[in-house]
Amino acid sequence: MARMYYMKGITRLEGVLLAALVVVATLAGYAWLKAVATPGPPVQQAPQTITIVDSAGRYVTVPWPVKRVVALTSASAMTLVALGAKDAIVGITEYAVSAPWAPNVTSVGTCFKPNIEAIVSVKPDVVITYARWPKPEDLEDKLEPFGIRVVRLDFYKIETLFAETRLLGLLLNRTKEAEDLISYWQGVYGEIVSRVSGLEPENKTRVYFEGYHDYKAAGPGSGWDELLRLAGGLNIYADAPVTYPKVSAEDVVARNPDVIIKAVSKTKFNPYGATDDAPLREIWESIISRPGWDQITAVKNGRVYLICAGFLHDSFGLVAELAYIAKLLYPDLFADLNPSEVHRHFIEDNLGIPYVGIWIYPAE
Amino acid sequence: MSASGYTRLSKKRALVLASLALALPLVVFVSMSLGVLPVNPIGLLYGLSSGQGIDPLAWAVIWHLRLPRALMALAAGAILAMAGVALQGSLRNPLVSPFTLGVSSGASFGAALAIVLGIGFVGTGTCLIIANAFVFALLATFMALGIARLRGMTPESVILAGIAVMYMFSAGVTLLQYVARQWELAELVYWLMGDLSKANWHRLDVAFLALLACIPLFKFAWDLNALMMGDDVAKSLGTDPAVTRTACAGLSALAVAAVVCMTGPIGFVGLMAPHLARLVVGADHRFLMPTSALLGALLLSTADLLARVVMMPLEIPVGVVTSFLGVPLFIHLLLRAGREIWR
Repeated sequence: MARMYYMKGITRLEGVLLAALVVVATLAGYAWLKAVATPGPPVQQAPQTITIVDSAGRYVTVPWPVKRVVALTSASAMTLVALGAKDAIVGITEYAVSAPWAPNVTSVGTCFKPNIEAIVSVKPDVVITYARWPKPEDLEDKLEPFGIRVVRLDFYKIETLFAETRLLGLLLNRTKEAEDLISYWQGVYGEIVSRVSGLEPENKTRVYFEGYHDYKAAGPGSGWDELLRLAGGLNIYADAPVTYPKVSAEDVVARNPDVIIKAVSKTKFNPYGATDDAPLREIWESIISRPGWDQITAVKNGRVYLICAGFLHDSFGLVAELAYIAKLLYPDLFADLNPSEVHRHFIEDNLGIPYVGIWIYPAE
Repeated sequence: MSASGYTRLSKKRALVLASLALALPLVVFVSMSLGVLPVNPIGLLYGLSSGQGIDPLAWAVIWHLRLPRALMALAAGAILAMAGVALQGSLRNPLVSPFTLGVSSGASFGAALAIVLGIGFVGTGTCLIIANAFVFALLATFMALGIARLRGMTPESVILAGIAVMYMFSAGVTLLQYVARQWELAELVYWLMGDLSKANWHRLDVAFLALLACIPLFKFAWDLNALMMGDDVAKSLGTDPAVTRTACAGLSALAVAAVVCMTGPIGFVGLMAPHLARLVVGADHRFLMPTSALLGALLLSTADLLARVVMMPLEIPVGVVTSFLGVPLFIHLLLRAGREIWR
């Protein structure tokens, strides 16, 4: 008997298994055919998700494409508008709610003190905020019971600006728009950085950059310090022990900068829509007439400038700010660069509002 | 005082305690129904009694956000007020608050160390801030008590030692603020303002443990009454002023530190709630303590409710509201009181 089965080349067990396999394969094939050939009723699809790594270095899984966003920072809201995704913004901060470029949506408090209830009420897919603020215990932990995810993207540092734009474009399924933005702004940025890269340290312009408060210099770690470095300048307070050191008039005279730039806050002078530069002249005159400052090279050569915050420093305004600073430091090297045109591109073409205002004093 | 006068006073005290105790659940209920997300109070009341019919989103907002915060306000208000009574009484000084012995500046310094330099004892991030604030709050108080001990624990020595310690830690906070980077500075400034929005159920557990730590304070009610008449009289009545002072200060510091390390320093309640209570029920600590506790809880939870809803969606710092709310009330009672209130 055994020999007979052997000659048949197959045992009984194998035969049963083979038959079973055929039956299963047939049934599966039939089912597959049916599934492919006859379109059944629309199946309720599980919502698609996407997992990304945000600027706080965390894996975040969010519904994709993202349709409703609460932007806790002006910078992220501006970038969303630039991506053509203004309609996706369903909540915005108190500071941005009245901005001319802002969508007409409800305020959810401030970035420093977001109102969790207000965020929950507008039912967003994601909340976008800075990498380091607010603390996760004040945001993620509170939103967790409501299933709302937080994506942390800064949009205020050039080193991460382009990668963050690409990520945001991906989240909203607007990758084409993101690449267009990146190619223009990376072009401007790359041109500036490559031109100053050839400068020898002894030929670099030495700069005193003063923040919003008198005698508060921009020290290491401040956004202005980074911009100065990228624009090829030497910050005379790059060696300070704190971010915004309080310096003395005497020390600035001793360090003798070639250029002085003072940042003017929006509360002192709102640059957007401004036509009268008289308040700026007043500030400017008070700087050049500080005791002993007539000895500083920058004052002697008339190279004291004011730069007004607002539509700079956030999102692609950062690159516009870099262009302004680069031109102030090296007017000959950047003879063909028109920072106002770069800034106009951001305000008019990206944000979709008219480019009117005064950002630099004295005017270039 | 005549017998009928005393009966009248007792009735008044019972009435005050009962109405305060009734007001607390009312404030909690109003806190649950008010906020950015509209909740129908009648629907909520019906839903709470029948256990159904509340919108899930609204209920999630109430359960995770509004309720823990309202309860935290009750606990923190009660603790601060009781600590205020114990310290004002044991140090025989109406200007003393739970923060006089350096609890808040110590906590602030500990938090600042954690936020700016990342230095601390246990944990990282938020845990580090809380642990640091707690440890340094206690450290500050025990430093003050240690110095005062060398001068015989007289009220003046305790207060002056407390003020010295307070200034030292405040200077430390200012120095850390100066060297802080932008983010750290913003975080520190918000911490120093003090607020209840960080409340959650876990933190509430700690707050109620701290509330339990206040219960032994009631044991000192008679001793505090005796101390009000001066150290010598108290001694003749069998009360040891130094022991009472150390115990009251230590227990208060423990409870207040546990609250302040989670909420940041919330001023005014600890100073004013005892005075408000004193104006209503008199200076007998057996009644003053529970009245202050209820009044402090009521004041802080009402203030936090207003802080949340007055400028929605913005929140006003709760300390601002407690002052705006409490000062007019205090002045009203002060002007109406016909007799000397402190004794």
